[in-house]
Amino acid sequence: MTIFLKNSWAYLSVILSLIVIIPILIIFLFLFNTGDDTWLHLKNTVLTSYIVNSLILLIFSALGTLIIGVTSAWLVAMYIFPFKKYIEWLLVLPLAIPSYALAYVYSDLLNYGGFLTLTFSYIINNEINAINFYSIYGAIFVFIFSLYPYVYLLARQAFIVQSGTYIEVAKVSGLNLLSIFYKVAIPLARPALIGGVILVMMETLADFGVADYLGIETFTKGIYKAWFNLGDIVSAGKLSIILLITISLIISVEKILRGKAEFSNDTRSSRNFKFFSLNKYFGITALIICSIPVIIGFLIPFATLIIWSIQSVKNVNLDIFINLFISSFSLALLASCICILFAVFIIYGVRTNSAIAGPFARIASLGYSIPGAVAAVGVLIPLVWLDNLINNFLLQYFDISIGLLLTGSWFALLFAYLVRFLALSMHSVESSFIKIPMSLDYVAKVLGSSNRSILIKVHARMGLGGISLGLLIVFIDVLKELPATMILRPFGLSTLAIKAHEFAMDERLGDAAIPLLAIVVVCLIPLFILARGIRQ
Amino acid sequence: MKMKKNLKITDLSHQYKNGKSIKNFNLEVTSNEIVCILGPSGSGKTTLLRLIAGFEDPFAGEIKVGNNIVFGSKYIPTEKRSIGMLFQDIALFPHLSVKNNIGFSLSKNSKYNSTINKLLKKVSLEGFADRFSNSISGGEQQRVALARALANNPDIMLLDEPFGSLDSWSKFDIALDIIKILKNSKTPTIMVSHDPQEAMRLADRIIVMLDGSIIDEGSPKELYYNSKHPFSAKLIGPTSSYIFMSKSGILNTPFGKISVNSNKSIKYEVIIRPEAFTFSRSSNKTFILNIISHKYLGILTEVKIFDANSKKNIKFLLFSNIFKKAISSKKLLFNKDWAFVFPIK
Repeated sequence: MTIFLKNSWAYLSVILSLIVIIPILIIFLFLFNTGDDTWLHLKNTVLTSYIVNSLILLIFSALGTLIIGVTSAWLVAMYIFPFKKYIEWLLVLPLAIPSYALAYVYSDLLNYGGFLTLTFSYIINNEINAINFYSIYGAIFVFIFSLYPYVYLLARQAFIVQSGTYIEVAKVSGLNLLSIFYKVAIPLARPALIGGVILVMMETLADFGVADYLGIETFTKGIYKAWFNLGDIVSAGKLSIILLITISLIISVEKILRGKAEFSNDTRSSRNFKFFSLNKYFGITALIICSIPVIIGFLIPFATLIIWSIQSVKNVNLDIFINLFISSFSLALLASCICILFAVFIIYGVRTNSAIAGPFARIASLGYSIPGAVAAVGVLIPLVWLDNLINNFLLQYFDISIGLLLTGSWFALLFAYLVRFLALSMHSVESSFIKIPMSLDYVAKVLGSSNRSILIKVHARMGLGGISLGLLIVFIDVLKELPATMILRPFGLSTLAIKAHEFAMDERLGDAAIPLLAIVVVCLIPLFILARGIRQ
Repeated sequence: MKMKKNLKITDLSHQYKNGKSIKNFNLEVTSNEIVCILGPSGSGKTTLLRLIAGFEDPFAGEIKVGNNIVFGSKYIPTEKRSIGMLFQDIALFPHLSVKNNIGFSLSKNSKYNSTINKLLKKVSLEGFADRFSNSISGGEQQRVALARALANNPDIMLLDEPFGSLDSWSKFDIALDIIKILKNSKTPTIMVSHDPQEAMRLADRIIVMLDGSIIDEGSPKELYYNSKHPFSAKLIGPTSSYIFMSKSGILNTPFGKISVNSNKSIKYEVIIRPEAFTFSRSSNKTFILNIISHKYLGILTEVKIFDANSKKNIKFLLFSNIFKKAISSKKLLFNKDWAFVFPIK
């Protein structure tokens, strides 16, 4: 055996990382493509609206989630009020409802004769018109109430960690709690708050379902239309690169800000914090403030989906539903297994030799910042090229035409999921592997175990928690995924998310409810695990 | 039991990116020998173990176990080098019982249980087979780690500061037990330590490392009586250290004259062990104690005196019982055989 073979796991890690990096690199090549007439047409007609709409969505979603997330996090982190221990974890539940499901529900409830329109009319004793939800305001509303938990979770954690000494110092300096909030808690929690807002911005930019349903022209929708309606991959690629650069800019700004504010993560001075009790009226006010996002973001849409499902259950074609269920679950299961295998091999390779494998793994983990539609385009381009190559070869030498073999296959779809979701499974695996001391690897080595054997006997067993969590997170994200699936799905394949979206686009919201409810119920599983962590 | 082999390291060199390195390192360890590599942090002692184990690769040199080259013209990976190793953080697999930890490298054949039972007996841990690492003490954990390391009957044992995590009052008992087991199993052992006391008590031979090179070597007694380097003289046992300039081959110390080989006027570091100072009423070779102050340190006392020649205060260490006798007569006898003299380059 040579020293080269000794590093075989590190080289495997590099190869696996490169497989994921290639589609990302291909998107960047569109920077140098001048584009054709279709691109010029898009540029002169809709590009400005894509930019304006996406920016408005970004800014207002960020502001809204920041206000709701920070307020609720501050209240649960600092005060004791009625039902706080339930509210604390109920606040994360909107993460179980896909944003597009929220759009379907509220567009119906606020329509003519919709439940909320009628309720408001009854309350003010005066008939009110339908609220036009098919607008950018509707989309902002949806993003705020479905994505605020990202800010809430990070802000709550930051407030809990920082509290203790800093707040006591501020109190003895004569500051009241409101001043402490602005002058101490918010500046100290800034990196966490920015981190949460960045997640919201990335999810907003990556969205396809909400924009498509509410008829808003955004980048992701533009990418989908460029490929599907215009059949122009160059335009899709060029739109993707603009989106990718925007996201890179946001991440860079966040990194600069985070780098300067890193001191605020210092927990050495933190200690057990004594919660402040609120009197009866303030306590109820805090309860109401924290309940509103739960009611709007989870209870109303969840209850509506249940009611719709009950109403439409008689229309359900059980065979079709079972098929949808099987295809969605098989896709999600396959994708999550592939992602977790890649993640385990890549992270383990980095562990065996971080100098060789580390840099590639870091680039591969950037994938989560790439919207599904962009990942789809990145995968589509090399596969179309490969398909054409194979087809031309067979046509020339064997007079056989097989058409596009890989494009529009499960392979292409799973590849796109891998590019998009590998980072999630990598983070999960890495956080569990990092807890295994390196001395255990060394012991196993001197005891005669090969790297493969160490992975099976030590890491796979000790890191089982992280591996399972990574599997579950990717499973759920694939289950909810829309744009990449719509662009790359094989002919005739549908998923619960796609079917729900198709029903919704046909205004058959009742029929959309059952597949959506299936997704929500599955998504609740990891959230209950997370909630248990919060309760403890 | 298979015949234990010797370890031979020839001209081994290694360099880290931060510039720290091991230069032309040579070492031979014979069967049944416990060698301790002693040195401060960053001296390269742990790196040496990592190179022998194969966790790092040198850029030059040869490592040979018995007649097999494991690094050099051939390359044998860690898992095939037949090495046992103990670590400071003990590193028992937390998801495995004591029995499964010990049996980690053993194939589960008919001899599996009997081998583990023998090893448990060897480390005096019968009845611990089904316990987990979190339910046994640090000393017991280290003995489990030893049994695990011995399970494959390794050709060489490497100990990377293995007693550092143990309580100071039980450390030496556990360490002596472990060394006894290793001696009985005739396993050549290299132990790394930064604790001179540990090295003196446990090792047959001590190698002192500084900046990646061997600066001194010998049995604990040889190193104590005949240190070849000022660093090792000060490391092994208590000393008092001074710098003097020679004049015509003589060093005029406050305690007496010491002759040196060279007639040139150069600076010397003089390192004196407490044994150099004894009490004598009769001898005329005594020097006068102009005591300014003293500090009782247990078996030793640190005394501050005024040196009329240099007109400076100087401190030195001597045994407390000697000081007690000398305090009234204010005279001490100086035996220069206990002074190590090193020219300063």
